Amino acid sequence: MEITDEILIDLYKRMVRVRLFEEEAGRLAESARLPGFLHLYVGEEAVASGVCGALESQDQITSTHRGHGHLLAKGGDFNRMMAELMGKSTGYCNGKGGSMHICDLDLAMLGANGIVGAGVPISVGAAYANKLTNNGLISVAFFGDGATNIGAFHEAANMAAALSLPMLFVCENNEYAEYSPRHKTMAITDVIERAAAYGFPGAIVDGMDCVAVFEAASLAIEKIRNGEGPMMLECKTYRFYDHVGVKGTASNYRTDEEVEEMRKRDPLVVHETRLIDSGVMDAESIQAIKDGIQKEVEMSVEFAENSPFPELEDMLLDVYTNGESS
Amino acid sequence: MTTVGLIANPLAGKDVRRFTSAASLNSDRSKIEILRRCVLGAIDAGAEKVLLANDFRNLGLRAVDGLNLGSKIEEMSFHPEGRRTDTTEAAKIFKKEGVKSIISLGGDGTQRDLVLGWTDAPLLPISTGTNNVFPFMVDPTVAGTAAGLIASDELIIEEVSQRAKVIHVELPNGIKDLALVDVVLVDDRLTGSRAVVKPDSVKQVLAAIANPASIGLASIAGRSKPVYFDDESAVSVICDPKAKQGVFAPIMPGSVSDVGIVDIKEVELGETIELNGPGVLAFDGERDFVMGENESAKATVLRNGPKVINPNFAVQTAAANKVFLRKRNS
Amino acid sequence: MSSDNIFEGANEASSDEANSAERKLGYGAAVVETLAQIMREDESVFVAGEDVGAHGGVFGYFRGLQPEFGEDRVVDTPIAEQAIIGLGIGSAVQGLRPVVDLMFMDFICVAMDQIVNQAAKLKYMFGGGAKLPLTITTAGGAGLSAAAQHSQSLEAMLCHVPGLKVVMPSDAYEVKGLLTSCVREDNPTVFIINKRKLADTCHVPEELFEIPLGEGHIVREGSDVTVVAIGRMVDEAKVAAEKLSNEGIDCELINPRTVQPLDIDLMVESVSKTGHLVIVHEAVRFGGIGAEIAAQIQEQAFDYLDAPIERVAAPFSPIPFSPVLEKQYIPDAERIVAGIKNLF
Repeated sequence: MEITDEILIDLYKRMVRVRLFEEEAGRLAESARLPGFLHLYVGEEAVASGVCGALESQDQITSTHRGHGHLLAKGGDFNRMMAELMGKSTGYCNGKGGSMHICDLDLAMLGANGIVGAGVPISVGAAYANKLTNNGLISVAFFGDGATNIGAFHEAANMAAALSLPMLFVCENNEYAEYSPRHKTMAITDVIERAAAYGFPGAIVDGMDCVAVFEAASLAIEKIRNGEGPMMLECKTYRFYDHVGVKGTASNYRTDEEVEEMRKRDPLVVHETRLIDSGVMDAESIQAIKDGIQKEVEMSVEFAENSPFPELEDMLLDVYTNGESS
Repeated sequence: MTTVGLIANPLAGKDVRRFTSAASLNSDRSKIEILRRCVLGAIDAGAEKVLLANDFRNLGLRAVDGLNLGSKIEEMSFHPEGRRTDTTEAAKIFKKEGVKSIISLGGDGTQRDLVLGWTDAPLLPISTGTNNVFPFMVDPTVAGTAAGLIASDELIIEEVSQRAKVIHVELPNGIKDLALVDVVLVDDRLTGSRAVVKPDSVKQVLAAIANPASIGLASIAGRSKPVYFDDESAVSVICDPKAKQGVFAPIMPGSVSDVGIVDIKEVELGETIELNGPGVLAFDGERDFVMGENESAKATVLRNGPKVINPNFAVQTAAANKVFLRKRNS
Repeated sequence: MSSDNIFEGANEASSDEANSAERKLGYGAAVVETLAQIMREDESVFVAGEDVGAHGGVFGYFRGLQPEFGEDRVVDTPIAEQAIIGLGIGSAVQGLRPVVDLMFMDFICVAMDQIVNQAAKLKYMFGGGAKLPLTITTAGGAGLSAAAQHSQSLEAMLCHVPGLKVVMPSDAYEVKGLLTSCVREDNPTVFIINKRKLADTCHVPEELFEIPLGEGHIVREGSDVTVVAIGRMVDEAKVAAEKLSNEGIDCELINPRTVQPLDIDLMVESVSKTGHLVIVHEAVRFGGIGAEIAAQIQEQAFDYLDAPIERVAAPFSPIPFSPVLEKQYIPDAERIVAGIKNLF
């Protein structure tokens, strides 16, 4: 596959969409304008953008508690996302899901998930449907390094392999399971060793470089679509902010120096440098993209703030299909 | 102090070629086991100390866990960052500490990183990479023995090692780089996932070692006009997917490609070869440097590389010298 | 557990009388017949679970499906309950109608996250956008000396979770009608097959038919006491009712068929008439479905009650292994009789 200028620009736009939306969400959370928990994806943009950029639009993804990035990178709508974060009726989930359950079935995004590792078995199901209906699609499960310590991941990995399903496992290894460093919670460093244990291939790629992720994902996806069974892509990445909330530094579980070092590898900066060096874009057009997206983000805040909250009588709506409830 | 240096690249054998070929995963666990055997072999052969390069996975420390070797094991005091420069930095420390032999676990790329830090290192490279033209497939116990015997002066390094050739490259920006096996010009403009996985993208191969029996881009040259470690020459192959002639070459494990070639020529040591952009330069299999339209790099092959210790020959020499026969306390 | 011939006789009987109005079919045989008929008419239905394919299920109620529908539509899965439910959820969201089997009801505990936090809530969390036509079949109930981890009746745990429907057929007729409804239903359902009922036969129509979920059934009309019996307890309550009718107590027996949704209106109506209520279930009394029914009846029919509500249920202990203890543990007709007599 040829990585054209269009692809390079497309990857950049996906990352900027995630970054600017997330930074805005962070500011809103800090000023107490968002209810609930906020798990920011900032720092890991290259992973979702690289993978989603390599997918067909109807390939399914399952996501994590840190799910905004996956939906945005797959083309999610700012207005509906921001409204959902504020618990408004115009949100993706009519205000009933919030940050941790954001989803867009039209984009084949089968939901963020508040339970670590729980999206992976669901992705197995989507992959099974693809196989049974022979629709040529694949499913992708995004999950963190911490999720690979939970049983659901292992059951899903084994089943995907045993049934030879069209499924890409994408591990976003950001080195921390919430606030616990990877080395304290597992005796291996590379999650792809777990793929090997279940009998399918895995490869490591620089998760701070969207082109590396895109290329690696494309190589895997081509094989998976050809019926070669599941594969795992492990992206070594980093979370710039804390597990939940914004702060990110002055913490008791990682050093500021470490954060500073990783921020030097900011995936947006890495890619901007490449775009400029290779003559694909100049600084001005990069700024124009950022400005345009920032404006969309700000409009989404306005949209969300002007949107109504759900009606109280809608509390019991959608517990069941057909509107039934007991 | 008779010290053996020991280093492993945790990331060797884990890249995207696991998707595109039948390449094995070289796990941390298997590397730890190899390191442990190296340590035990080296200590048994008389090394007083093993200096562990502290990789970011702590593979070395995990390898000696429970061996109770006390002061015979020393860990380097530098902070690895999980990048390829770790290997280069560790090599500089090995040089400063004056280790008498180094066992290095990795593929061709890892050995290159090490030589970047210590050009004429006393090096015993062990294969744990994807492509392993340069390092040896050898039981690590034997490698440890060879390195230990050299460290303890039971063997003279000059007698059991050979200087390797090095491809010295001057990049368009003036920076000097090197490769041990091959420098390849790839029709690309991105380093991407680094591995070269598209056979048709290869434009030119300059190989110091081109063995038809090994895997990697150099096999394009190796299966056209072999050049061995000992040969006082190198080889350059110009490739073109539209060429009338092709060569079947395993550029990845289990993956033999028909690569079109338009020109093959022997390159003398000291001769300068130009690699002209646009394209990406891959060093020992990894896309590393993007060259623009009017840029070019200059490459020269010289035999001034590391002293490569042949473990089999070393141990055979030691046996001939009756080094392994010891008096027993009855 | 050996499943050979557990309901073979029932099959033979049914084929003899295939076209008659009194065609009889076994409870277990009804499962496989229903699934086969649904799978013939709807390609989006598939079955997955441990040993359901080549082996036909440990109780045999999937036998014959894989030879007819192939390995892709009757899937032998690893022993991995979370992934089995995940397989069902992900494929249901994609528009298929999976029937996934958890071999024993006790094993739902292994898959609780996928059932409770995922399947049950997906639609609501996603703002109504998702449909989840997922059927979970599982074998519940005691009486085979299968001990504490292979005998439980855990329906109350499931009923507590908004989003699930919980179905407990008491005979082969209900198996067919309720299972058809479950598979055609767009919500996740848990279909609890009572493993002691497998060989029992009754009249079952040849053609597929639906019994609506949430509608209870009056098994026997009566005027003195309302007896609500769940699942296999309907059989025991029938015996009790017959016995008591000889003693001058006229029982109205209600079989809710589904415990979520629960047809409380039917019970309210009955209690309004009888003034007495006895609830019978195999699950432990504490926090059982009987507690919910009792609470709702006192809310809605307090003025009609002439006596406290009586519950006949299992004691608060794990299910014992020894046949002697297990027999004592499971409510039976005799205890139901005693429970009813307490009210008079």
